[in-house]
Amino acid sequence: MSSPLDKQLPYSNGHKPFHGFGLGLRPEYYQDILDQEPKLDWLEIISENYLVDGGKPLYFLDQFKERYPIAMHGVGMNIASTDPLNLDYLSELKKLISYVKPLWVSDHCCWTGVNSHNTHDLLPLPFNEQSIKHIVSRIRQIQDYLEQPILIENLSSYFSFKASDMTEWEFLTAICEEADCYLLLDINNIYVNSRNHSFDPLNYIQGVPKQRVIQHHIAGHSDHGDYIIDTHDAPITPSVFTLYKQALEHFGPISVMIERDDNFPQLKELLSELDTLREIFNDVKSGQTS
Amino acid sequence: MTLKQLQSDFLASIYSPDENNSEENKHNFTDHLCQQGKITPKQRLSIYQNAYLSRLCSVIDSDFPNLGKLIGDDLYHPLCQAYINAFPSKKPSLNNFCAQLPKFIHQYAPLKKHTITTELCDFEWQLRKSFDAKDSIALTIEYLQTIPSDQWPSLTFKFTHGFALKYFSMNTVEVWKALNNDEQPEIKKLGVPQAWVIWRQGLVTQYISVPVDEAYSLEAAQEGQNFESLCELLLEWWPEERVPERAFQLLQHWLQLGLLSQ
Repeated sequence: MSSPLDKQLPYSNGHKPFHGFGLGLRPEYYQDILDQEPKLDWLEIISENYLVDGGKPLYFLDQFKERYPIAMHGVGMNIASTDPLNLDYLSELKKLISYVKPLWVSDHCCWTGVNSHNTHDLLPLPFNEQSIKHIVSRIRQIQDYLEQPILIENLSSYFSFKASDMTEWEFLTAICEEADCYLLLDINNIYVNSRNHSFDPLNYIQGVPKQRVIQHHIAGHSDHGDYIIDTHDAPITPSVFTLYKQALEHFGPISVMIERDDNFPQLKELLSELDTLREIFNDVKSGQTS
Repeated sequence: MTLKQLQSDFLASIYSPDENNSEENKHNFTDHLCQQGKITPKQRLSIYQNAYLSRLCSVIDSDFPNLGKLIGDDLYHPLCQAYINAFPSKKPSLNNFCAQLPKFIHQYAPLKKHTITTELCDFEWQLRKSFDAKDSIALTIEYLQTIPSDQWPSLTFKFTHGFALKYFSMNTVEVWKALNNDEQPEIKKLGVPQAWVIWRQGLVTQYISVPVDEAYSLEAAQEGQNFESLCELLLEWWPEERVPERAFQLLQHWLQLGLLSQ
């Protein structure tokens, strides 16, 4: 049976848009991007940064909107929370969506607060049927409200619940299939979790539904030896580049972008990392066609 | 256990204003976590606890870039911790998380008597508010010239969204400027409080000191008093024959600065 949202899902028939190589737009790079007009295929904004009344954020958003395709990525949907959905937030988000006309809208498969207390952190929950049922119902309500499908992102986590009775990729697969939503697969987060929870990241990549993966995030992290923290404050590591190559070999072309949220380097360093992603992409492409 | 209970327990384990409860909550919550590798569940939970505090502290750092420089780490970190405990974030966005800090600091025992601290906090928050204020279309001199002369006495004024008038009894703005340049400030109490106008002109947040007659006129105009009332107010500082000139001078100044909106 087809979803009521199918008409808004150009990729539900297996044809997925590939927008190339993008960058997470951060205020630190506003002026450099406008001045240098670098080779960027698209930008991803943090939606909450633009849910303001006026001033610089909205001024710059206008500038970028004219120059680049934009995807909207949020941190405030609180999808997995047991609090009621925040309709004020969704209403503001919907207005922003209508203004930006983004490539797509995403948020995280997690909760950020409960009992009206927001931690502004991306918090995990047990991988089990109870959580799936709850999240699926919430995503369906959100998609109905926004009148479009959303992408949900896998998160980094630092512990596992005893109440989990399935793998993270089985959990995400069930949610995407039942809620009829899509996946923003963060390659760095898979790597981080594979180290923090001792699993083979390739099992993860091969375990999620290929047709649901629409976007990749890629970023740096802080390696503390026995555990890794997803800090987005360092260059992408060789292990994560390798995992990106393996993801490409498995999924084919997926729109990818770099997230950098702290310890900001010069723009050229991020552009150089994007070039590395392009090289990997071309290597995989030529390998597959030869 | 329900998901609601699990989430509530998780939250209590990373946030608790009471240090003793925090340890107990943390201990209880780790019962739900697997033992994995060399890192204990308690250490793993600490990653979330540290992240919670450090994220909210960094919001305070960003909204009050010079407050910590003024009072030093030994006072600043406990202040941040106390504020985070007293005003947990209720919104999906962090834009207004610090909105209560200027009021909070007035009641915060270690700092409430440090006037320079409370005033600097107030000034920094107003800069932040003006920065994010709703865009306004500034009123032009040309527009005012279209108003017939018989309507001038009843004319009232609307200010741009980022506009604010503040009185500081210390040399707060000079101290702020010095701290902003990483210089050692010289802190002084003023003989009489100085009025400061803070607003956003286009995309740039601005501040300027104004003389007392202008400050009172701005206050009156903000309260909705009309042009005729402003002129009457100016009689306190100016002889009657100079009042119209001064009133138009002030109006011109406000228009040049972009304080008035349509």
